[in-house]
Amino acid sequence: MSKIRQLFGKDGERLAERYLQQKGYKLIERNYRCRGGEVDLIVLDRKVIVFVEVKTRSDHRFGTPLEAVETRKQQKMIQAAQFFLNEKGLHNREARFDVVGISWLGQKPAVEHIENAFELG
Amino acid sequence: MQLPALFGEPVQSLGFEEESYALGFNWIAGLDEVGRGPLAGPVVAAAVILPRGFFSSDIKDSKLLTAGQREKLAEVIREQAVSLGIGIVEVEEIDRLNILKASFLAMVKACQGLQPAADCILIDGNQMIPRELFGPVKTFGGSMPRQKAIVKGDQLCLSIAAASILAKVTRDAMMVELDRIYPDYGFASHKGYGCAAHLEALRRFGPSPVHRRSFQPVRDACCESIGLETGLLFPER
Repeated sequence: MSKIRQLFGKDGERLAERYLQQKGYKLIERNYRCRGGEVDLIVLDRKVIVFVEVKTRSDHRFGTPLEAVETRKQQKMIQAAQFFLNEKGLHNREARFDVVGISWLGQKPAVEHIENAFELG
Repeated sequence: MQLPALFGEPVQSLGFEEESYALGFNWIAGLDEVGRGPLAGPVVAAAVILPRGFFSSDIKDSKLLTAGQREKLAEVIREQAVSLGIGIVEVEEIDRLNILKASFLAMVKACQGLQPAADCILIDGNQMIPRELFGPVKTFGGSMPRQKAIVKGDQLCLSIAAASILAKVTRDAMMVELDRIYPDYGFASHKGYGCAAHLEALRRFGPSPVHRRSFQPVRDACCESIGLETGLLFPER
């Protein structure tokens, strides 16, 4: 593994986190799991709770990162998000789903960020 | 025999190494770890096999040395050592395992980097590495190494002192590197430990990707960001 990939974590999740943090988001939780669902990152965009799916691809042969978040995965994220909001008593807070795509083209990572990538339910 | 000075730091000796040679062991490694306490960054362990009889009164507990002295001594140790191994366990794994297991794992990784494999390991502290963490025995030359835990080993045993210096130098360099990527927290100066300035930055910016979210002050900062009472966010950990 090259040095840059080592520094940003194997899956590029640190890179996604740093990108979001530089946008002014606050990091809350990673790899949140509950029965029936999971979500890669939970972050805060000012007051809005954002559930983020991180997608890494080393090339575009099988579609771009953003095309890879398929419906089943979305359902799992929604489940986890609802569980999280209920469990923490945050259900009346504004929330949304984003996707961050990391593409490794050689040694250079490219980050794409889609806000409101999909809707709840 | 050299007696410890009545005042000042304890004197290093080769007593533990010689005792192990006398028991018939050939490859005796000192093992130490750094970074259990910090709120951010990896935990790093080092294992060092010194040549039999090697002695240097400069090599002592890394905490008793300045950063500059440690750098110089690390060079000496790298040159002189029969073999050395470094084990690094990253934040993600620390959060997944818990810090104690993670630091044992770093120690195992450090031992796995030794060539020849150690048949006897002198460990700083009062705990030995759980056997199941060692994995397949074949990575250790066919048999489990003997382990001996030595309280204040970094002050009493030269091989452990050498390992403590290498671990510290390695981790400090990593924290300086991480400071370049995440410059808001002051990692280069406090190395991730929870000093006042660090806690203040944590409150202000929230955790970075390399903060240990299984650690209470980091969780508290998360709670504060999201507007929850402290302790409410991830009490299950």
